[in-house]
Amino acid sequence: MSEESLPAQPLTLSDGLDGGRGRRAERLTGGVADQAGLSSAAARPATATAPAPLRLTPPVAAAAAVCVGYALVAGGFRRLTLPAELATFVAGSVITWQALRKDCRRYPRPDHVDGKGSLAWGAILVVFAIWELYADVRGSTPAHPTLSILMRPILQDPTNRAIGYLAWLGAGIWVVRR
Amino acid sequence: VNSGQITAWGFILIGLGIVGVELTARRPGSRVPPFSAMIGFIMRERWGRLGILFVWWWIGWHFLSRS
Repeated sequence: MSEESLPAQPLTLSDGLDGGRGRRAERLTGGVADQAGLSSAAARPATATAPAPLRLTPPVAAAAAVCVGYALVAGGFRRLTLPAELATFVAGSVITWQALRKDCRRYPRPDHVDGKGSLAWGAILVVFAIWELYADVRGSTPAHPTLSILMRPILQDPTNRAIGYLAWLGAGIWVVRR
Repeated sequence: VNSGQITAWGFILIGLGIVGVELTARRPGSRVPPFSAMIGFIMRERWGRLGILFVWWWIGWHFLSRS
């Protein structure tokens, strides 16, 4: 059966990243089993909803241009202002809305992970929480700075802030596809 | 070395620890799941998905809008 003979389906927002090519390809191949670094045994059966790897297609280029434009504009907003609050609110709302859609295309998710192996991540999280809380309890001063205090001089520069917005958006898109 | 520098180095070491765990996870036969698998596992359920999205959103709000 050729790709063209498959029944057409309406594109979703996530299809905009690749023009729906990934979904068509997965209907042909049975999906992607191991794109998320999962073992085949741990991964759920691949479905037609798994997203395709990002490629530089016109829709992807347009979406990237929108993200860069948004980051450049938002990067110019000063902290603790209404525009800065709205910048994260609007982008956060769009990403969250997309992530919670039932027809959102996602990578196969593991049914289980190794409990002992996961302890390494748990340990990192606990150490970070203790370190951050300790600095916070000590007043979050230059003598005991929290992570946000340490980042403040870097993020005061509009260019760095724009890069931060871009990285944050990229992380959001990454989360949507999980 | 003052206490502020010690605190900063603590965060740097934690960051290096994250990189180290991820590299370990990517080695063949490793029992440590990669970061993406951990996130995917947490996001299997709706509450986990909401939690991860909230953390992501909070990071943007706290570091970019407030800091």
